[in-house]
Amino acid sequence: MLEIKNLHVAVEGNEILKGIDLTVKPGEVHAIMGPNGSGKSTLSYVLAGKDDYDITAGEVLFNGQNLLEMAPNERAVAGLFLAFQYPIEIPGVATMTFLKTALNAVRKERGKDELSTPEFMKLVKEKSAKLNVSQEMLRRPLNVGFSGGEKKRAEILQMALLEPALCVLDETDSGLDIDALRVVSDGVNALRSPERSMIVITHYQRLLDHIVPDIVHVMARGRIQKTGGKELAKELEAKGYADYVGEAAA
Amino acid sequence: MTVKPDIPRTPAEEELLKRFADCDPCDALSSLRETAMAHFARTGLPHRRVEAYHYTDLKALIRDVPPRGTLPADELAQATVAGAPGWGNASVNRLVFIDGHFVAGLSDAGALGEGVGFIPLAKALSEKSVILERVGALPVPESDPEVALNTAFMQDGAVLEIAPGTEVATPIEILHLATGAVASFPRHLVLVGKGASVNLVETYSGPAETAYQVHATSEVDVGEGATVTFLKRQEDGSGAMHLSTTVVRLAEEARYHQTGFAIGASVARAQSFVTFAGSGAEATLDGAILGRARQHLDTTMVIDHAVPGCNSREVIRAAIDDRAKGIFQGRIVVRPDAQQTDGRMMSRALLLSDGAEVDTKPELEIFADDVQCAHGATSGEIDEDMMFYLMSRGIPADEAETMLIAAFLEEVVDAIDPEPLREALSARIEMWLGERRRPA
Repeated sequence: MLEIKNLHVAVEGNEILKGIDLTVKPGEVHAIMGPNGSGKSTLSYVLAGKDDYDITAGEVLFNGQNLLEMAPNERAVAGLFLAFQYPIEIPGVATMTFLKTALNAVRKERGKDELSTPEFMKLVKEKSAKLNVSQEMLRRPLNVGFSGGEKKRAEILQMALLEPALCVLDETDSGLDIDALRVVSDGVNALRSPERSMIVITHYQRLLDHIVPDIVHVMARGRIQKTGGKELAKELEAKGYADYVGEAAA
Repeated sequence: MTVKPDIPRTPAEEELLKRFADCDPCDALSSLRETAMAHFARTGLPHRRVEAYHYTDLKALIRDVPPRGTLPADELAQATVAGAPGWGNASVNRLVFIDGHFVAGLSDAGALGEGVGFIPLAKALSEKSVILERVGALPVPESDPEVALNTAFMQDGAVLEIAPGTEVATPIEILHLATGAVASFPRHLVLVGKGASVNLVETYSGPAETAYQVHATSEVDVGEGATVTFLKRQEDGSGAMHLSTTVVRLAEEARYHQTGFAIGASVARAQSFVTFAGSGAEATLDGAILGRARQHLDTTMVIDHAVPGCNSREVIRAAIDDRAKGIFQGRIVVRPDAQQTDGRMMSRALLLSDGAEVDTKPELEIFADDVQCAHGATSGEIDEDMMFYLMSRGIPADEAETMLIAAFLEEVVDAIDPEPLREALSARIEMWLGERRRPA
């Protein structure tokens, strides 16, 4: 599904990612944990195709395709989805209009028929009900005035609609209270399948109580420092990241 | 002894003065015309050292003035109207002017309804109607040169009188069309009686790549408690010069909402002078400006709070592409007596190409102490984070850009009333955006 090989990324001359290697197979859920500033969010943006990064070395293959050469929309069509830590507010674009435009853009490129308005409405109604997303919210401008929880639920709704092969969730738990965390996690878990992979990026272990990973990576100082099973997350919760942050650069 | 003007006259100025001397308009407004032309003779066309025209130097831009047009033959008139910008499903009552002349046969003058008086200015002039006393009665700052030229050469226009208490159901559209390289000087006068309400539209359109000129002035006198919406749809042809002035006076408790939609012409300046003459009145002046190629689109407004307790709002959105230039000048004046004034102005510009230019000059002149006034101006490119977000959901770059430009204009478009007119302009903007994605 996803193969990251020796990925080096710099921003304005500062190297943020210093050689990432990561392989994600179909159906696997990987958690990437790490302290602030470890490069977790950079990795998610680089995968989704944000412009501000210089790839200085390495490659990323997504189902055999060279991901780094694709435009962000081509990556979405190919099946990559990034749930943003801070979803962008777009005044003047109704959420519903945005969802329909996105879904039909992706469907068209995937060789499927575009959905008519009634077909689309039916689909959105069904998916949004499960995520506690109200019709009123969908009429509002995209993410504008949404609470933290509403923004994250809207991200998961987009994910559910676009049916990605690989979901990258960047700090999806940030800004959520316990109830919202449950709704969002249930939404994510409902999308787990043997074909669909996930990379869950988080600072805290609590999200991983709800979205239970197969593999946990610890990321610090631009590298994956340790890889283990879900018990590694518990260990981190107890001991913190001090072991990884404190190590002097070799 | 002759007095020499400070700057030598240009051929265009000489031509205008000669034309005025030759035409000898001995009509009911000749003294008004002579005063205006005397002013013009002193000042000439305004140039960039005249502050209000710094960005739109008419002395440099007006190289010559084409002749005035004549009333076209029926067939040409019909074909011209058939090609005019439409309103989709909206119904409007049209008053058609072609090359500056009222075309009765293609207008809906008979359908305006009870309480709406209409007479073409040319007829009022030939009949020496008493209504002519109202022409040129509204205050214009410092004898504006554009209004002076219009006053000197005006021939025809719409004189509308809305009787007190009349609610005019169907929007009235004053449609200006051109057939060729002519200059027209339309002059409109709209008198809205106490408590009346009306939706006015002025539309300008003409052939592409034709150097015609529009020198228009409209005076709108809004009575006590009356409600007026005024939509100016400027879709002049790509070679046209469009100079239009709207002069508005608002009586006590009047409500006025103007939207300037500027998408056409090679060079355009749409200026508005609004005076609050009675307390408790409200004015909103919005602008949606869409420029491309080498268009020069100037929107200038002066809001004069002469009395206490009035509110004014200006919201301007300019989307400027290619090597086009957008100009917004807005001045809010609060006179010493105008306490409890609330005036706010916000202009935002979106630069869609490296060669695009926007010049913004917001000004507050406040002489009262108990007021709330604010202005703000921003300009920038399409937000990269918004682009990335939309694209990360599979939306291609050109479609994402189109969505964001439409969203940028939405605040102004969304406020257009009534709804069918709004829909027609939304469709027009979509067309513009579509042309942008698929250059011809």
